[in-house]
Amino acid sequence: MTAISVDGVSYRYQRGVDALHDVTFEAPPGAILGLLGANGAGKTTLLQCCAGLRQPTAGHVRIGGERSERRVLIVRGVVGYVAAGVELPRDLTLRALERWIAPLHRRWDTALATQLRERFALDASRRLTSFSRGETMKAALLCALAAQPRVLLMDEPLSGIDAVSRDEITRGLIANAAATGTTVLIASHDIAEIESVLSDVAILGAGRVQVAGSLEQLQTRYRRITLLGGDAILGALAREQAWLEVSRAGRMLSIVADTERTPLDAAMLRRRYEAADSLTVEDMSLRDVFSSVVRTGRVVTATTEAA
Amino acid sequence: MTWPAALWHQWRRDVRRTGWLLLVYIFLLALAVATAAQLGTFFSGLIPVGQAVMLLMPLLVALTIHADSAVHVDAFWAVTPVRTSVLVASKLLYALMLVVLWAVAVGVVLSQWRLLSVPAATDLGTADIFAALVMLLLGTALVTAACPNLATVGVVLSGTVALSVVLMLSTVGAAWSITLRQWWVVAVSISVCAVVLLAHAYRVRTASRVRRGGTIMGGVALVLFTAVTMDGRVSGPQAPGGPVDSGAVVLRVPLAGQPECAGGRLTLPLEVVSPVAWRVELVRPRLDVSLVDGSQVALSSERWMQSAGIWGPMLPSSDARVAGDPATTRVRRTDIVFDLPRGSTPRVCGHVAGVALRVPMRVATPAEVLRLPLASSTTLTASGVRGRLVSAEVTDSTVAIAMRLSMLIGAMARSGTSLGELDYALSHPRERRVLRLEADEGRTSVLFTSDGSSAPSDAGDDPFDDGAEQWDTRALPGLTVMSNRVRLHPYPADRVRPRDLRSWRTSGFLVVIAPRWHRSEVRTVQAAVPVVLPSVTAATRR
Repeated sequence: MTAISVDGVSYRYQRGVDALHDVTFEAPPGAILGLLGANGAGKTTLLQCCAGLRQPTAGHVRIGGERSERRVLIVRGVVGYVAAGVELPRDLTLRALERWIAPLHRRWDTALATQLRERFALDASRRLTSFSRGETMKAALLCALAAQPRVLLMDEPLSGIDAVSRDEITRGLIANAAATGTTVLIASHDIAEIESVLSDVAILGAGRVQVAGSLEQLQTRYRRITLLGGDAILGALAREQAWLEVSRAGRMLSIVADTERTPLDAAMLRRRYEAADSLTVEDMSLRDVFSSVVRTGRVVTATTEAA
Repeated sequence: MTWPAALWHQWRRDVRRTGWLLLVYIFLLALAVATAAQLGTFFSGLIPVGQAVMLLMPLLVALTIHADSAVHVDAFWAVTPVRTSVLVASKLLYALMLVVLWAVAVGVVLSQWRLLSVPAATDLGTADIFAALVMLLLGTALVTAACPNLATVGVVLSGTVALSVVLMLSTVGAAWSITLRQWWVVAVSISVCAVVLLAHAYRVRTASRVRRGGTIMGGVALVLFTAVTMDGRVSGPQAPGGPVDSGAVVLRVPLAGQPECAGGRLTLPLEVVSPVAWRVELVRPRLDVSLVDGSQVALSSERWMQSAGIWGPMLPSSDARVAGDPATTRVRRTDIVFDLPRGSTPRVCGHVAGVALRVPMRVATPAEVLRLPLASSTTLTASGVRGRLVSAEVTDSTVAIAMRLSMLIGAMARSGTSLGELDYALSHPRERRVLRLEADEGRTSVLFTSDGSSAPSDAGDDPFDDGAEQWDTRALPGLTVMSNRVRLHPYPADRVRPRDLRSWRTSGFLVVIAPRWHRSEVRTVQAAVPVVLPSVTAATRR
């Protein structure tokens, strides 16, 4: 059984803005799925739909087989939700907050809560209103992790958190949670920070899933070709295929190839463009893949809408 | 976690969250009780306790609602496994707790005074206003929960302050009618809601369903608030050129016979005389009315009253009005006729214990003096906060006056004497310790006076000199006067103690309670309320 199943989810705000269009993906238990997208891509809305905070206009989200918008209480019991926008009850102390939510969670682990508190260097006797943004985020993480959720939804979890804690959160907590069978869905702009722990990636653009798959698949699917040479040779390469992205700077041509759409034979390319000063074909980082996919996705969307 | 356990868990958290403010609220209530029960302590009048309670209450309501913001889509409670029904119930329970605390405070005071059915005695407002205000604030807090807490609390607070100021002004200004005052309250409430909603709409991302629900709830609260506060307090016809109405007296009168129903009219026989129109309510109605409209639907009296409409058919027809010179009209039998809903032919079973007449009270000239019947089983109350008997000149010492007046009537009732007319007025403080009872029919007895101008009569000394216990019914031997005039003045409040009052419990009393915050200079109060007391032995209770 998949831990998270998003099936044809669309969401339209009251003011008529379409935030999500027919979003579909799945995440198996123990997966750490990175939800990437530009601002306004619909990441937060999708996470809120997964958490049962919003009811999709169409489609549905299943958490552990339960429809999130129907079995709200059950879903809340197995989902941990950490978001930069979550308003903790700031008039409470951290200890009072823990005391309040502990009986509500069946799997609350007091020892883990204490351990996390010490790890994050949080003072339990302080009111949350005196917490900084980063500390508040840590407190939210504490509450989510100590409940030992089966699904952990995180929206910009590294926002406002210092560099030391970032490493601890990404490599320690999130990875550990996944190791214990928790499925993590994480939306973040800090791609470089989370890339090392992700197992799967879904890139959203304009409310649609542009690309989804495992991190390895993504990194082998997209290749960057860099060619240095004269105008003629650059033009020839640019016109050779329907590349995903082509950019030129002086005598250098940079191409992003989607090998799934346009099969790429690097050896053949090198033979064909022997006259060029240099030609390299290399893997791309997740950040570069994300940038290319988002940029081209915008063009495609704009073109489609114009048509 | 079971639902009740979850509710208990949530409610305890809500109570803890408001912590010190709640304690302050309880302390203020206790202070109000102490102040009222002792009839004047050090704090009396120095701290507007009732006002403070009324100001604190919205803060508490707003805080507890905002603590779990209902409009933020990703509020923390929404991502914890807590039932929404538990949350809502917890908030309502919290509001209920505030009302219950208030009711307990008032109840303690009333039990101290051995008073019944007195709507307010502690400056804390009447129960319906208080409850309606809590509802209104719940709604307001709900729709404003998305605003930054501080600003919202500020809005609620400022709205409440405005409301209180209006209430105070309307009380102080004798020219303000109750209707006008209540419309002011409604207007201010609507204004506050409108401002908050505007801010809400422009600044905050909300879940539309919750916003709609909150708006509807606020609207319902406003309507209820209006309906409840307007209930029975709209004044009757005013005398041309006369002073404005300033309150209402509720008179509970037993029926003089069985109710009759014929020709689409329900007739309740009473022995009552009044020169003004009444606002009528049935007291403890056990009136089963079957509407014979082909379907034989039997409705309880309460439902019938509701369906009949409180402002329409329940108003007595013109038959119930008795014309005549108030100065000479005697008590006589009259009927109050209700026009029943069109097309209905009710059959009346059971009986009505009595009828409550809401008689508009006026700051009156002698010609507008009201005559109200009293019997041993009749309770006449003139509430201070809702139906202000007198205008703003009344001071907090009026409580003491009221108690003495009730003692007087109680004493008369217990003595078995027949009093024809009781007229009281509150006089200037310089006329100190004046209590004069004058009798008609050939002899006038000045029973008590110590105003320096005349010596106490043979009926006894000033009863207040050594406490109320001295004022025994034996001071009124064989009193058969038909007209009595009692002049009282604001007596030093510390002279009458609750323990003194307990022995004066009576079934017939008149209580005048005025807002305590008017601690300005005592002026002459022109209110004059002649009360017709039928013979105690002739009084009947059904």
